[in-house]
Amino acid sequence: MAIEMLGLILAGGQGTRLGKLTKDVAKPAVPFGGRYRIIDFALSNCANSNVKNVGVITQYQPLTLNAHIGNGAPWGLNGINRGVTILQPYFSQEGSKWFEGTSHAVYQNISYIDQQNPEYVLILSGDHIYKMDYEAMLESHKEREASLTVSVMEVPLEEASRFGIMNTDDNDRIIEFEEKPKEPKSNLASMGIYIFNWKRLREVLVNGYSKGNPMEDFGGDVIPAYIEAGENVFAYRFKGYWKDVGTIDSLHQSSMEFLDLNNELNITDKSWRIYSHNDISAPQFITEKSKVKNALVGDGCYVDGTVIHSILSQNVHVQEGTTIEDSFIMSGTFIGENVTIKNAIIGENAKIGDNVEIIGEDEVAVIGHGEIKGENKNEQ
Amino acid sequence: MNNSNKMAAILSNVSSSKNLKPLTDVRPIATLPFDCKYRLIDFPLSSLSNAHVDNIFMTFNEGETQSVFDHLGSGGEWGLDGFNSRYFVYIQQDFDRLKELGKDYFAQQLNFLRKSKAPYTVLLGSKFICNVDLTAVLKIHKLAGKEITTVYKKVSPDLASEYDTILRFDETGKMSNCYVNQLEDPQEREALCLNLFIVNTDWLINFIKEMQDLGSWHQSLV
Repeated sequence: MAIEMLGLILAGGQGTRLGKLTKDVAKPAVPFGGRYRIIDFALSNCANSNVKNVGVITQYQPLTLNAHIGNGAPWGLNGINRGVTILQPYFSQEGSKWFEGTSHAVYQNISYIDQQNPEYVLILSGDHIYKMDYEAMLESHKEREASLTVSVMEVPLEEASRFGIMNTDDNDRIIEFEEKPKEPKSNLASMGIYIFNWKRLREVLVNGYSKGNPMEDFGGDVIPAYIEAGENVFAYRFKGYWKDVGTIDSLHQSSMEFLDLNNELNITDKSWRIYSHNDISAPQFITEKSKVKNALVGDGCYVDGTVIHSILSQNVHVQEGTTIEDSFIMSGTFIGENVTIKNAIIGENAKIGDNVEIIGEDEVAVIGHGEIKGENKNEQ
Repeated sequence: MNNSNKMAAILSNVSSSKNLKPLTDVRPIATLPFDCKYRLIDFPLSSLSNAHVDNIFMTFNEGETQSVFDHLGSGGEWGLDGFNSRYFVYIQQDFDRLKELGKDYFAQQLNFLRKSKAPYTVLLGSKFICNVDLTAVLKIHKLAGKEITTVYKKVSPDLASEYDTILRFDETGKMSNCYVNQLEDPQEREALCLNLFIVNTDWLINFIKEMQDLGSWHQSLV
């Protein structure tokens, strides 16, 4: 049965700049905000935008990501006429189907997309924190009779050379695309979010590969080819909170921004909820001796120490005499007595022994998932 | 599949209490919120789920089911939404109507028990908050070799309400029972019946059929 728009989330990225935090998990599966993983934002945007059929293209360390997504029930993606499908690379008679780039990953999954038979495909990246109505973007795509719509946002001109920049005419039609230009002509940066007419994109990909003209990347190959061929390529302007948490610094910074309930992301907005897998933990417990200020504390936490301006994810255990400040603690972490943690990110299920100091001075301090620091006398 | 340890369950949620008004005006005690994030029914359901009981027959009062369905949904949180894993909802007032019409008023319960293909049935309510390891109780039940096993807790009778059941045992181990308000010589600690039983399903089916044949419907199990 044909569907209107299929969502494809590119979730295979390694996220090397997140260091230890992506050693065993793909970047979209990195925890965020106390109870989410980064991909929850793209998945929830799909759920809220009436995109009911979603393929998640994975490659690097997909185990945590797969377990997290499951059958898609937390996002209402399980049921008839809807679904979420994990797409892993595979071997076929033509050889390996590993993904060389963003559009190559789509090309390798043509049989899945044909099976879904969509009129439009929505290409998303699984590693950004933002809320966006893809349905509104589709409306604009249809209104302008576009072949490709690229979601863009305005960035400060001095930062524009870090992005893929779209140069447009007065009607927001894209006339030129420049990847990380030294001298940017505009400040409209691509967000890596595209709506394509599937029939046309399929032709472009298949023709490209059959004629020895590989279409590996949307930014580097497909969009320039579209512009050159005179296709209707439009920019769709997005305004609102958007963050690529691709580095330790940006992950820490957006975590600290997340602590401000007035921030633009507005996580408590019931009209655009962010959904996630729920592990069902007991309610948090804050002891009499503890001091907790300006903090997000997840379910299952036990706090006997001091927590200031920090995020404790689910099932974090903080013992007496310990101080945690300006930090993001991921779930399942055990923190012993008289520990000082400042300006840091602590990975999932880490164990921090008594009297340990983890202080980020010039840069954010990071402890990896499951990493053990020091010893805890109560935990033998 | 080896079904020799399989248990089905009948979970009763029909008792009400004036003492909980107005909190229970439009809902059974079962869906009263408790401890931040739970509702009372989560405790019996989790005890059942932890013992891999995946066929549950629940009784509710007419007009009290909206919050129940809101909370239970598919039953997936307790593993009740799978192939052969189901929960059923029965309205207690149907029972009264059938009885008045002279029809087989235990037909649905019997149907459930037969189809569950479980040699043992757990009978329980949702009023007491307790985590009971039902697989351990089943072991004891099988060891004892009797038709019925019940679970009690030694508490001060002051903690119980007037119609809770107290169990007494004489020197020979013979058990007797009475309501809390019938206790003539309350002891410091009494055995409070937790309204939780494991019974042999075959025996229960016969027991219910006999009651139905006699036109009876209310008989204490203890």
